[in-house]
Amino acid sequence: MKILIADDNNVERLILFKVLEQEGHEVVQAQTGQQAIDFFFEHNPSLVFLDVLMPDIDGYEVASAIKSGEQQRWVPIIFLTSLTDAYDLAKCIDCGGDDFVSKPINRIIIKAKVDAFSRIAKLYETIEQQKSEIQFHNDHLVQEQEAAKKIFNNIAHRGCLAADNIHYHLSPMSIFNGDLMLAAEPPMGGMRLMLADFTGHGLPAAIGAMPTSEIFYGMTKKGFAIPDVMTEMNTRLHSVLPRGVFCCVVIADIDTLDERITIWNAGAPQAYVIDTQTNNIEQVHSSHLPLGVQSPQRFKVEPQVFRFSKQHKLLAVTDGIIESINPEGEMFGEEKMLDYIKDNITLDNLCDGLVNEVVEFTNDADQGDDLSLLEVAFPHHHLEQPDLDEDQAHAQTGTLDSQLSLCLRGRSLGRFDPIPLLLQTLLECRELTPHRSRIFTILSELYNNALEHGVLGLDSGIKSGSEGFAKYYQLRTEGLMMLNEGFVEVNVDHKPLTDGGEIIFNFRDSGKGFEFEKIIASGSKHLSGRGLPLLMNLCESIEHFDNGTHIRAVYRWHAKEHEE
Amino acid sequence: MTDVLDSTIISELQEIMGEDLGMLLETYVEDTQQKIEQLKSEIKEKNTDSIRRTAHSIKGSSKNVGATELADWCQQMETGAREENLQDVDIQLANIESSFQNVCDAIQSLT
Repeated sequence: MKILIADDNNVERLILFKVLEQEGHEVVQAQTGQQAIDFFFEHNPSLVFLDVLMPDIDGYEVASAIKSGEQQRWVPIIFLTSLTDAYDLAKCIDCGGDDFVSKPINRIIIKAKVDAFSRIAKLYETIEQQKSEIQFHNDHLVQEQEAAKKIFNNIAHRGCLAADNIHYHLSPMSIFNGDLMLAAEPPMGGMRLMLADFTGHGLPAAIGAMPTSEIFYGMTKKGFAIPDVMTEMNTRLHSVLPRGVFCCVVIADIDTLDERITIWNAGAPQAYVIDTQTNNIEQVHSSHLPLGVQSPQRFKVEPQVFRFSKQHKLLAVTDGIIESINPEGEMFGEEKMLDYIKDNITLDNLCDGLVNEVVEFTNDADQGDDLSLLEVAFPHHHLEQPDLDEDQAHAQTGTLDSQLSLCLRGRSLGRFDPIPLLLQTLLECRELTPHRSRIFTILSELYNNALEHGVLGLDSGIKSGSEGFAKYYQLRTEGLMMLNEGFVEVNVDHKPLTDGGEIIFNFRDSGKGFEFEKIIASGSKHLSGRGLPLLMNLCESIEHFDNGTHIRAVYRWHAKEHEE
Repeated sequence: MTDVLDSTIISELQEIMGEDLGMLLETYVEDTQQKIEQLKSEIKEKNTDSIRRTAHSIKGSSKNVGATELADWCQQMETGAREENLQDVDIQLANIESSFQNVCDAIQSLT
């Protein structure tokens, strides 16, 4: 070890020098305070012995000068002192000294001190080394996270979250908190939203974001319903997520035509469907284990349906907001949350309001980073897909000249949604890409009419009235569960014409039929239940046969047509 | 060996310094001689602060070589100077000088 000794007294310095040299240390000797400071920075010793009383600069000042230097290492300073006054001794430590030994020099004590400090110095060195290693790894990690964040944000993009009916709060690093917020416009219009919260933090929490987002956007674009999307997501997450990581989720579809919201909550805090006119608040509680927990065989999705119109609002949160803790250790909790919503029901931006409320409650501005909130009002109706890819549109004509038949019977009716299949098959004809929304709407209206009003015999009149909405969808779910017979037969005939093509949809069902003429005459209220005005608007022609158990719709499209 | 030089300390020093003990003692004698001269002029000037420092320094090296009696005289002068009391300073100086002479003799007899 290299040791610097500073003492103006030749005798003392000589003895100390000899003692240290005998112990095998390399010794640098300074005779004045100034020399001590100079030699310190010149020779870079690991330990310093410093006499308190030196004629030019005393030991205290030398110590301060050394300790205020910019060296990275910790270099212990031991004062040599014959002072016995407690105040003087304390001053040694105050000015940056680490210890003192009293004079005259005692070989045994000197040796013991040097040994002790060299042990401590080694410890410091180890800590410094570990610190720089940790720093290195940390820098590396931050770099990786930055890169990962970019990749994740590209893949788990936020879809149409920027739409003006949405307010949301999401930290830029949310993906590493395991929070994921997705929004998309399904082909039949309206909006689909999802707020997901993976357990854990960091990469393990982020890893599920990729398949989740991929499935969400991919299947939504193809027109799959919530149960299908959730089933697929659960199957995938069940296989990819590490043990103990799972995903709490709230997913909601807003149907702008039917003015309803279909919502499903698996493991997340309750979501709120708020009526800003009547002040009614529906709480949608979790009805299932989170995604990734249950095997695909045991997984079952039963969403709830509520009325959702221009006066409604959806609010979904992750557990961060409810579990926020104030300095007294109290949680923000569901009660405060509900109270806040009730008190501020007409507030335009509940989302920001709630974040401020939580920040105020916890008295911690950083707390806002852990919160993810999603507030959705009624979206504008749209059927057009602005993101048309020109290359795709002209690529191939695929199923331009084709006919497709499908008959669903009995139990299959409740368990299989044929619309994505039919839509995808038709869209194999790339010229139809711009017509995706319209075709989806026609297919789903026709199919749902055949199934709900035909096979199940439900009366759309049930939907009116405050309770009616939920009742209608409950009857629908129950009816589908018990279905053992009946059928819906679909025939889709796609023919090319000189300037485009024509799709003829034939839907037959096993129901009792309905009085088509009477319903047409009875006015728009009843009609809206069957989406007939919409169909008439979209299609070239609509015809009914066999007491209304057979409907024929013709959709005409023109090549290279540009949507309004 | 006389009482003026503590034999235990000398033998310890012998162990530490080995061959260099002679050099150390020579250094001690030279330094102390010079400091006593310094002390004399400081006493003339009645510079209590300098007297205190010099006495302190002689005391320090004297203790290290086992010149206990000399160290004690220095301690007395140092204390007096700290209290700005130079009343006995001449007697103290005389004692220091004679004590130092004894130490020198004792060192002589060692070699």
